[in-house]
Amino acid sequence: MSDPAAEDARVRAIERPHPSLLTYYTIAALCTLVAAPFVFLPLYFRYHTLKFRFDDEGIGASWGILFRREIYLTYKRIQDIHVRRNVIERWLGIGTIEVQTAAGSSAAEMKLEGLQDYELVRDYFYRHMRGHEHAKGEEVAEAVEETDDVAVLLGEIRDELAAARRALEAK
Amino acid sequence: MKPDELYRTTTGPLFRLLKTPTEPPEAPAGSHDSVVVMRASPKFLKYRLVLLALGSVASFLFFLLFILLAAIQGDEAGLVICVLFLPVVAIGTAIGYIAVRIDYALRYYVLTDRSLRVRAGAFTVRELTLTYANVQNLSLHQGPIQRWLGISDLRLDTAGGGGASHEGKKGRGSSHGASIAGVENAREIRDQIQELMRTHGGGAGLGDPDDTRARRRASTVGAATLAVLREVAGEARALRVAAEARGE
Repeated sequence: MSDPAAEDARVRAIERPHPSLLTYYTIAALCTLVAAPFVFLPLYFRYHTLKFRFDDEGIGASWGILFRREIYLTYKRIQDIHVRRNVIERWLGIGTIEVQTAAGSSAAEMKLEGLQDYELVRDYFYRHMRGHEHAKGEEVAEAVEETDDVAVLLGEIRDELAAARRALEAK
Repeated sequence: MKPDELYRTTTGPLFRLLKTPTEPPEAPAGSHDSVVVMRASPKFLKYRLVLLALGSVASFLFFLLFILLAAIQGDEAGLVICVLFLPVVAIGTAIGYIAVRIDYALRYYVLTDRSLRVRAGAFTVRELTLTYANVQNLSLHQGPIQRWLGISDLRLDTAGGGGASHEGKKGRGSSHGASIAGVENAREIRDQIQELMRTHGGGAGLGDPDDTRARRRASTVGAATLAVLREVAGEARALRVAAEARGE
């Protein structure tokens, strides 16, 4: 497995969807036959304005010309990560990642379309979500060790003080 | 042609054409104590085929009934239409058979000691990853046919609404959570996951009181406290040495 830090840097560098997404949108629009021009226009603008922003705390996505949308969610709030790739997306070598939070809708809170490195992004999210490692268990174990150290030190102090008292009493 | 042959000859080129991944998905990133890649039980395939057969038989009988009615009434046009529908049922059953086989063949469950990944689908490949820390509840589902075959579905729900049916339980369609469908040891897996959730303090998925107490305890004895205690110990030793020196 490659270095997580290097992978993080690669994911953070992603700002725009892959150009294949426009091809995908075109095909998707053509599938609607007569309605194609009407379906294609919003998708065309969506592609050209779609921006991703990965930072330390979370991920943002924004798009739209007339009606602008901007979504931001933090990594810790991610509940589950979906990767969806339909036939056309596989042919074009791109994938869609859907991120779920605990909000009250069954649809994904955030949809990242047109990612070429969808596996990288998926692993990136996984590394940043809750419970990907047993961090709490380790913390508690450390705490127990430290308490032991404290007990030993306190014991030493007690012995030293007792010896000092005896020495003073003996005088 | 035998069903097995039909399946093999059709799916090989189909998967290549559709660029469908047939190998098991990779485990979630990071180091894990255990990684288990599971498939649905062969009984799950049997279960889905039984359902398919029941459906086909039902629709076949349905059209047979109409043919009978048309024959009694002497309606020739109706008779012809109904007879034409019988091959449609047959073709539908064949397509259904392949679809069931494909769904079974491409179904993978990857269980690690802290997360679950489920992948399924041929046309649209759906992959889901979740951590046990986010799981709210685990539920087992078993219908009469599944009970007879000895398999059940294990459902892991995460927080979040939507897609719920009116009975207030999340159906299989809900994307808040995963379904480990058609496994024989669903109960075992559930107990295992519950044990992992308990021991690793993931618990409620919203933070439970035991966790915060443990963390608070950890923070009271920091490195600074230890350093000061060491200094105090040094002072006490010096005091004892001084007291003994004066005593002599």
